[in-house]
Amino acid sequence: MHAVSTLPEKGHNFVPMETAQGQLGQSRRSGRRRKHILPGFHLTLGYTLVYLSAIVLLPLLALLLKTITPTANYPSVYKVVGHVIEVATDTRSLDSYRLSFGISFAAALINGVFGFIAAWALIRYQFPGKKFIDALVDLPFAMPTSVAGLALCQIFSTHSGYLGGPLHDWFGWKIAYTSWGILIALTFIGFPFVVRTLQPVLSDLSAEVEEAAACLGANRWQTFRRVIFPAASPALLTGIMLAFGRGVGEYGSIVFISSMIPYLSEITPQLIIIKLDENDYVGAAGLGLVMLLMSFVIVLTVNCIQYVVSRRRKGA
Amino acid sequence: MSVAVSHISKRFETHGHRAVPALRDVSLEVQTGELLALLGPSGSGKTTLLRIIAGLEIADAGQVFFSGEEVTEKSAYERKAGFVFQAYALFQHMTVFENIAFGLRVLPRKKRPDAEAIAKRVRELLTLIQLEDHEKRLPSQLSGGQRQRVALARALAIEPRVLLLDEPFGALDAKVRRDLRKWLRHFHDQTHLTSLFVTHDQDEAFELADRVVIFNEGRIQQIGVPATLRQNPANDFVREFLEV
Amino acid sequence: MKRATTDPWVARYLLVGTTLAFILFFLVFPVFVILIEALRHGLAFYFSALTARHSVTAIKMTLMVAVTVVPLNTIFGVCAAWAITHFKFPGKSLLISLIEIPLWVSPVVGGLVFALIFGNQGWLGTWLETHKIQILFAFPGIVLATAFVTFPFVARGLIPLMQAQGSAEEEAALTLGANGWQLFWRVTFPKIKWGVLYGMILCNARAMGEFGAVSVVAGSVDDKMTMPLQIEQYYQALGPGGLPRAFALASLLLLLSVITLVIKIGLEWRRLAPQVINPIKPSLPH
Repeated sequence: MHAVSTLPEKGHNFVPMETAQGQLGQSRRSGRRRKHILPGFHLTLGYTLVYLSAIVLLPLLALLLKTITPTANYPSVYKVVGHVIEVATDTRSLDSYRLSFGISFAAALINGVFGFIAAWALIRYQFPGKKFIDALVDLPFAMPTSVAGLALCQIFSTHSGYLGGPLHDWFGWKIAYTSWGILIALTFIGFPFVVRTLQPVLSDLSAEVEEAAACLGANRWQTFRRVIFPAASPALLTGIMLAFGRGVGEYGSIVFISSMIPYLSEITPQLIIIKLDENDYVGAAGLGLVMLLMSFVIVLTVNCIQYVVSRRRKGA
Repeated sequence: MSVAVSHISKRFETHGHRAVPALRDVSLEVQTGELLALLGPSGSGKTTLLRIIAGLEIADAGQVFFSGEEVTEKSAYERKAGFVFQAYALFQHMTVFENIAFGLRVLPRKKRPDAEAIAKRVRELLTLIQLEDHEKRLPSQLSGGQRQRVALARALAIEPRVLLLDEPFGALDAKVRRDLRKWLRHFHDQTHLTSLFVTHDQDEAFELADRVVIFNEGRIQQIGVPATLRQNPANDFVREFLEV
Repeated sequence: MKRATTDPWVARYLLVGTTLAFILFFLVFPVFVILIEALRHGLAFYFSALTARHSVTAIKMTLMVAVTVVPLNTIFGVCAAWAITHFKFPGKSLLISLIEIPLWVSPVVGGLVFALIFGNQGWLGTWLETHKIQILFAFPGIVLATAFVTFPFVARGLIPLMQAQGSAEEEAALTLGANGWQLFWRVTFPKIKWGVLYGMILCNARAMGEFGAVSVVAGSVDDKMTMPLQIEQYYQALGPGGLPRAFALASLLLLLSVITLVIKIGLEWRRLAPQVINPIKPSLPH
């Protein structure tokens, strides 16, 4: 289809295309076209990449390289990697993984239960002081880990603790300086992750779907079990994974409440520090790599959950 | 000032799919002082062409000329084309006065008029758009039609060489639209500022414009004065689109 | 009449009760414990604890680190958000993921990476020693480690905010003749200033409270400790003076958290800033 151009009858003062040929040729020669409309592309992206590399990427690269670069003590790549594997699979390390990952996971599960309940109550019900309580959920986010650790230690310390004392006297329970102490600390730290991940999902759940279930004869528990919970479970899973990831990396609060006895109550971050103190940089790097890989797995899992959920939604 | 585009092409990339051509080899000449309408269904490329002329998009191929001078490589900042956005794009945190004054306040020091001169010009424009008492209001406190007028005044404040309007009356209700149309035509008759506007409403195009350009699927179907288009539609698309 | 979607009152009371009990016990109780312990020996002792030599140096160090790290990360966050929001370029999602790395990584690893570079067996170790430059166990090391762990906070708050705001106003300003700086200061900054504040206070809270990463790079070197490290030192100290001093310092940090929380909630309630930095990925560019 051709454009039919009807120019007005009176002469126009526009320079015809033909004589603009010189300019046409010129623009071809003048080089690449500008790519961006708003200014500052090179400046902002450049600074972003430089700063990102300096603070995050290069240091992480240093970590990776440390695990494979020969040093005075381990003169060949084979020896270096060998030492890394040796440290990473040493009994002491394995015990620390078990502790770190195991307790973090348990704490994440506890948070999963109580976090779900709290998210549910905060979204669905009205009660006095609700907004205030909702704000409190963020407390572990805002509080420094050392402060939290100190407080929890004081509460649960076996002899003079607010709760630790009575619990010990009445039941013989020991909390501080045992795995229970770590569990409590990690539960504190991870709580907001589950609640904050669940809240938007629970509030988005369409009321109509629940009403439909009710019309079809389901009672509240059945509706919950079959309609609500499945819809919320990806978010719950994500929240648990996030709390888990946070717990695995936690150090500050644990320092105060744990006795850090090797093989018994040592968490992996603590082991990394010990290795550094012993000047075993390669070993420390190896353990750091293990922790990095763990974080990576957690991120991947979270992304997979998100991906599966969005795929399922599109299909429905 | 006259505007011309020569062999403009542009493709947009959408995620994972083939690139969609928005404009294919479009050439157009706009006379000085003309009020030209770019008309067509949505997705036909008319807004893209307008934004390319303004400097808000960069064409993959082709050139743009203002009065014979090539401006293809110049940024929007340098072209001095007044642009009125479809959703007005007023600065939400600035008053009406500050919105209109913006273009004058950001001029380089040497060219910048002093505060008094700026205030005078802003108030002239406020009188032109009949919003004299609203200068301290925020955009959120204005009606749609009022916001549209402020957007116009803001574009006019910099004394542009060409005025580009992207569906200027699209979001307004019928009566406001009619009033603004009349106002725009009157304004154009007085100032003879070269203007292009995009619309999908053919009544509007035919009522306002000296010439109308009909777009479809990234190409120009026909250009002409309204009467000619009605009498001699160039092809089936034009015929059906105009319901002749 | 009871709505079909109302839960039975037993369930409601039980669930609300459990929530309140959990939150009050787990979250609120520790706060009170800190306050009680800090003031247990009276106000005079409290103030003397805060003005003790080690406390003062720790407070100073913490403030200096925060004053350095927060502006650096803020500038970065603004640049990154500008680049990501206003331009198209390949690898945008990758960039966002990379920016988020410090959130997922243990703080100890955050300190470890710098120890591996600047420590005496590290990459630059011998070079630093010969030039007598001290990075680890000194201010620069602490700044680096703290910058690492607080890296994403400002960017994460700004990116979804600026994406939601779009580029229309900036484009309009461009057609009106504004240059880059004018665009940013007159048009963009007023729109994002609350989002920037939001990110900054979170960054600051984390910067002042960071323990793990700083512990790795600074250890227990006297006079080079931040408040969290000093709290630990007091805690480990033998003798009766240690623990109360630890609580005194901790109460200061607690005050900081409360202020942070208040500002954060204030901004969220007025819808000036995005609701809680969602731990799930921020919106990827569509």
